[in-house]
Amino acid sequence: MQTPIHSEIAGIVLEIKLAPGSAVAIDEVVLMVECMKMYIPIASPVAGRIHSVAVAEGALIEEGQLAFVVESSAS
Amino acid sequence: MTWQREIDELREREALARRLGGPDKVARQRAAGKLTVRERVDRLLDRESFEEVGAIAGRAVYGEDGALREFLPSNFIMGRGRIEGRAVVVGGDDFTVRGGAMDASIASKQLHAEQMANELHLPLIRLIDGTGGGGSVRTLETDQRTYVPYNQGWDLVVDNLAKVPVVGLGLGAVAGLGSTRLVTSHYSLMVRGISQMFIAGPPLVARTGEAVTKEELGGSEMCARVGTIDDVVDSEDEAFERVRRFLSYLPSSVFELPARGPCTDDPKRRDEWLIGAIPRDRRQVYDMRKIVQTLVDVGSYFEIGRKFGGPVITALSRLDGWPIALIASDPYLYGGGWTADAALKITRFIDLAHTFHLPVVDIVDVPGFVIGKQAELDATLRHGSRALAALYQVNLPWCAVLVRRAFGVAGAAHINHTRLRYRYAWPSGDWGSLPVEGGIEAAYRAELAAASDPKALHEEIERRLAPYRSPFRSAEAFLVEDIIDPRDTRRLLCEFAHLAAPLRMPGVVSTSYRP
Repeated sequence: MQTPIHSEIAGIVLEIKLAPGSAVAIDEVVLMVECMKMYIPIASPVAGRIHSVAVAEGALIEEGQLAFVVESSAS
Repeated sequence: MTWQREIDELREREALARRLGGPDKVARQRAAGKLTVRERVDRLLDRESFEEVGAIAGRAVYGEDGALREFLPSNFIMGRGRIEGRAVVVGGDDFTVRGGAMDASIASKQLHAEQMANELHLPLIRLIDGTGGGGSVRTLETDQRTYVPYNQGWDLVVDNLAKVPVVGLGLGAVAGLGSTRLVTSHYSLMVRGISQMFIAGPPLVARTGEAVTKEELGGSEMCARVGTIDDVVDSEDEAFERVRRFLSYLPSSVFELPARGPCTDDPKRRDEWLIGAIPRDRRQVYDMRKIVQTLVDVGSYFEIGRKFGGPVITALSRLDGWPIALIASDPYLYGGGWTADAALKITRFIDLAHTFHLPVVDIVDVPGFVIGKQAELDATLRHGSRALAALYQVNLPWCAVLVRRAFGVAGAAHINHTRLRYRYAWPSGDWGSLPVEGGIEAAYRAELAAASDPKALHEEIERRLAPYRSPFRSAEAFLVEDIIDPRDTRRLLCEFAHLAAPLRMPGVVSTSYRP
């Protein structure tokens, strides 16, 4: 099953911590976004493997924009 | 000779009313995963406390002999009952009778419920399941005329917002006036999967060329995210439980004061971890909910509207038993900066606190309004200005704790500075009109432009200014009243709640609640 994760905030993508193919745990941080001078983590709400990352480091991300997709075996 | 025959007829008519729309319609209601209106009333209220009003109202068909042949009950069930021992008024749509549309109900029953709450000063719970409005175009044929629409009972509906707690539960697909009745409340809930809410449903919307399902058009998650309702729950029982919780913090009407609840938590309790709760790295976020939940009485935290206006957290809570309205910032969402939605959330919450005489505790980490093109497009200044007006219009006991940032206009909106500044700051406090990081470019523009190495100069200026950001410098000049050990916060907030309690004044307030 694929779970798309959308950003709840607008900001600049500072760092992609997990590349496609990496295993990801529940609440593990996948992206760091800079917003209002803070480094704000975007974590995965599900465990699985990073299927794809929809943004690039240094790029702007909008509120509601797709950030990454997690592939999980959970039904 | 007694009146037993009439009493027998009364019981017979009551039994007919309890059949609702008939076995087929009731089966369909259950198949849709929904309780019937009578089950809802029973589960919401204390056991056997329902005193129904107008049970035998409905549409009857009589034979030529004058005997009752058929009976379809009104599709609005209402009366008085008790929740946790306190009297309330409850009114619910019966979807099994003509889809809960107003044309089949005795319209005056709905008004009666509103009026009963209004005049008896009792909380009102609306169980909404249907359109509840003018009903179907079919009535044109039966009435052989149409009418200029009016919002029936709206004087009472609006007046109730100023006088008694009003809770709206969306328990099915809700449209038109039913939607408006749901939103026009102090607290509104929907149940995931069975509740949708819209102005008009998919068939009407399809005529505008937009093909959408009920869930796409007005799913509960969406309604909570855009702020048309407050919260979404997973079951009707959970919704009833939340209604009971919500009402427990409020008086039965504005003519009373919120009652002190159980005092089972030590007001002097100190949580050691609070001294490290705010990261020293200013860019690092932290869990505000964990902080506020430990400051208030254990188990008393009741958050409202989590999915909307996320940079601001609003919750009802208790401090040494006293109900309070709690505002806090969530640094995970825009660093706690005020978006248009967050400002609207604040305005509504201040109005709620004002209406029901709840002292406010504001745990502050506000870097200002969120800035940028989108913020301007969202009319953040309009909604922010409304929030500021709300803050300066109320005269509630108010205590602010600056745990980190307070910058700019939105940061300043943590307290009405012209009144007694009942305020504390944690050592992690950081404030000003503009944060140093962003303000240097503007303030030292000429110097930076002339510098051979602007980056180095920028860093040098930042280093030069850093010591002045210390909260001790502000406290020296009494620009902040007290810097406290975060571990003492609960004790000081409980003291505030005790001092605030006798200051609360019952009555209708000057700025009435608007949905």
